[in-house]
Amino acid sequence: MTDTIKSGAQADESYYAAHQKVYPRDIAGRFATLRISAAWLLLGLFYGLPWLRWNGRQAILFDLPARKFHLFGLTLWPQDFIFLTWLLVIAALSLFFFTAVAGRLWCGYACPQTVWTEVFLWMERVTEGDRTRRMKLDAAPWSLHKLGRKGAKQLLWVSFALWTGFTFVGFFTPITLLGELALTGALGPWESFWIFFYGLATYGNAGFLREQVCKYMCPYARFQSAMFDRNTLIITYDLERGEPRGGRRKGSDARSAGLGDCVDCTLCVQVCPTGIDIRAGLQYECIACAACIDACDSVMDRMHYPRGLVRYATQNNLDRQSTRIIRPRIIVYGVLLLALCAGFVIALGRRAPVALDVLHDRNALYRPLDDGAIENVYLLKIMNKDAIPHRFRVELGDAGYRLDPIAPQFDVPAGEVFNAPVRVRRAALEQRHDAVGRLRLRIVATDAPSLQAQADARFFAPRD
Amino acid sequence: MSQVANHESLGTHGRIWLTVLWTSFLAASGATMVFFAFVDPRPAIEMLAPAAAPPSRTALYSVGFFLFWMIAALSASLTAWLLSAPSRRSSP
Ligand code: SF4
Ligand code: SF4
Repeated sequence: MTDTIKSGAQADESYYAAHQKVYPRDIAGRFATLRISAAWLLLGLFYGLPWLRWNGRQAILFDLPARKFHLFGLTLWPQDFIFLTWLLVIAALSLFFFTAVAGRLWCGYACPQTVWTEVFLWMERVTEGDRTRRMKLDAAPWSLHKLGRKGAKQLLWVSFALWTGFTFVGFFTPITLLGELALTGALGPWESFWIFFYGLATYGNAGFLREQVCKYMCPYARFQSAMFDRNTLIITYDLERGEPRGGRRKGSDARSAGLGDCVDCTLCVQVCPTGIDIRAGLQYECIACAACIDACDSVMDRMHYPRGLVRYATQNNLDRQSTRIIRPRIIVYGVLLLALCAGFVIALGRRAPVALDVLHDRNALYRPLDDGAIENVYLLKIMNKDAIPHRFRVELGDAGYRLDPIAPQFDVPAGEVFNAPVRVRRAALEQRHDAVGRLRLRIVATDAPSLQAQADARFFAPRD
Repeated sequence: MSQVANHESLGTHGRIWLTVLWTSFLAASGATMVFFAFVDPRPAIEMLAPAAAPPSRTALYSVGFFLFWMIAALSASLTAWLLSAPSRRSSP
């Protein structure tokens, strides 16, 4: 019966000559509800978050031009790159952990590829109708009707893709500003470029490539098998219960006819977004979206059979053995994950809230003053990573040098870098014979003396 | 090798090219992130080529990304090409 799919399908007009276009059928059910809720939540976060304000600025802004990441009250600087790496490692390990426990949960419910494909499919359904209508429409010759439907779909797709690109760039450039620029047609070339680029990627991946991304492009889909074992939750067809499959009249005694519970309606195949037959066993194409569970459950209900011919199960469960959730692999992943998360929080809490960089003035190494003293000028880069503004006093540790003015103070707003020029002089009386001296500059927050940072600098003088 | 054979059985080089572009895109994204986390391109450019209006960081990041992508794509396509070239030993 898989032939129905093939005959109903047509070769995709893509590069992939051998690729059969998949027309997933819409199905309602427990897992569809879950999947759609997850999609709403994730899309809501994606499209909503950039508009969220926090302390007068965008709550989440990866301000690349200013080289600062704002995450609510937290500001990350390039020096904090380790935290970003750390987060990525945590994310990867969580993926391993959840995969070992529950299979491709990520693919079915949370992967952007799945979520956006879901939206694009929904738009397709709204404009072109359900599966049968879509297949008919594609097979039909071009007409005004077809043009209208296809045009409406493209219009929806393109606008949505552009909005997605805009939102994406809005995570990196303040989105309100971006909106103003877009409305007045004053977008910079690179902003426009990235909006289109990301829009195109969305359109291509969710409208065009779809399941091929999972099949041919996704590295995760390939190495997942290394993380699966007999206790991993996967989507399965209960072979023992279902076979031999075959059609039967409702209410007839299938067992006496030598039949299993599968009525061979192929509904599970028709709903599959990757176009596979779950009855053939676990395949790497399966993204564990559970659409086939919903489909088969609806059939089982109609036949008055118990649900679960296609269900979430472990290999042990299918073989009528007990499933062990706690196993060495899970413990190792779990402990590692916990340690990494705890370490992350602790390290973030202990991160120095102020930092100091000292640059020597580029224009002149030194300047002799009238009274014979030597002056050097420095640029202090004071980084206030704290969530509140501070006033910093500059101090000099070395007795041979003096600041001018004696104790300059600078106000630095929260999460900002302040460039403060300071002058340091060395008295002429105290002649030293080295041309290059060392001194240590320190900044101290006047309202919280424990907030300190220091940096060393070189002091240049003429050789005498 | 089976991957490549698989591609060829589909009778198309399109997929190879897309894969090359895609893997190198991933590599370039990573490289761009790491590189620009440690290197601020602005002062570097100002020092190398002082101009009245230095390019914005966004422009510099973007150009950097495409350079990385180009290099990675070069490497990936070379790999794909070498793998797809007929091997004398593998023929039965
Ligand atoms: S086999 Fe079932 S769970 Fe897997 S992708 Fe197809 S419909 Fe989704
Ligand atoms: S939906 Fe269930 S009954 Fe129908 S073909 Fe699939 S497994 Fe068999």
